[in-house]
Amino acid sequence: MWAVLGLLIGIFLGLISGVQVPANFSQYVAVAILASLDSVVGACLSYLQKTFDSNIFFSGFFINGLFAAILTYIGNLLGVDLSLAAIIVFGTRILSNSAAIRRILVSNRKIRLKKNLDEEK
Amino acid sequence: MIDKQKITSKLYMLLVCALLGFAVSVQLKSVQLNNTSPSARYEELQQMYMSEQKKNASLQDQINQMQSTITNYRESIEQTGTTYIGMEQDLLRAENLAGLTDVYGPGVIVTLSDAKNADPNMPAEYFIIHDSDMRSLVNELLAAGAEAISINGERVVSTTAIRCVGPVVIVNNTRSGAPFVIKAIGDSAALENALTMPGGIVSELRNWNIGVTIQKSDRIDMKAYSGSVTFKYVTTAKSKEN
Repeated sequence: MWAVLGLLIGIFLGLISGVQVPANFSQYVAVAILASLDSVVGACLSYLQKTFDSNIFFSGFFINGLFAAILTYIGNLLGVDLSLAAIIVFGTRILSNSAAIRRILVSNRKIRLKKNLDEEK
Repeated sequence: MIDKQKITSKLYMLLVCALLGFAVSVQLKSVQLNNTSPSARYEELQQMYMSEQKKNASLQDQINQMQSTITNYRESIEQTGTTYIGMEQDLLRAENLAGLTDVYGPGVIVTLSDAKNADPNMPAEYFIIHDSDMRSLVNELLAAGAEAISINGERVVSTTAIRCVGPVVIVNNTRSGAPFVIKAIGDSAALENALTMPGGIVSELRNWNIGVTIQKSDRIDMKAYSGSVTFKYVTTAKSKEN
């Protein structure tokens, strides 16, 4: 709830502000965004699993993003496209985490429906 | 206590997600700006070209201005005394030699155009005009006593290079394509004879079906060399006493 609200506020602010990412930084920002998105999806999962720890979330959000950007930068220095590594790792994690979230939500719903049915009986 | 903690952590969550959203939207905007279509790129190039052309024009203006100040100086010298007349004539002669003045006189106009009916079995480069053709033509004209030469309006001066870049020929850093009009001021009969002698440059070019027309004229007008004349490395050795 709060997360969605924050996301909307951020998007709104970004759209109305005149800030722009310079073309040669856009790759790093993109990788950092991917890492941060992974943190958010992971946080949602842990929240549903009731293992959410805000410290892990905040540290992961910033440090993963930073590291991904730095890794990409080093890759560019070496002439290896290390952004691919970040894309694959974080992309896979985002997808698997979102799949886990979906499974939990569906099974929760099933349990609730079953409960309702039991109560009606 | 627990409530307070919960609220602060939720606020942090809000802030962090706002940051993420901000980054995403800013990045989205920038990517959209950078991924312009090829046609937009052409427009950009066109604008760059236009601005370069404007710059060129303003530089040309500058040259004209400087030339007019030189003329002013010369006029003022003329007015102040007669002792300078000898120098004035020397200067005029030197300028004519250097191609810095508009000149006219009798001569020939040679027009070169690429071969029309090229043999398709032969490489195409045999049938187009090369910088070497132009160079030997200019050389031939000079050897026959031409006193001033221009190629497509560009005056050939002592520092002029004639070279080709792709399909165009560059003279004085100005590029032009075929047909090439080479004007030469001098003894028109001698010039024509030098070009058309058997085994000469014109017969060789005509062998390759390259269109060559030579036209004698009683009056050819020629513009002055319009580029800059600055010497970076040359220093005048002590001039002889007059």
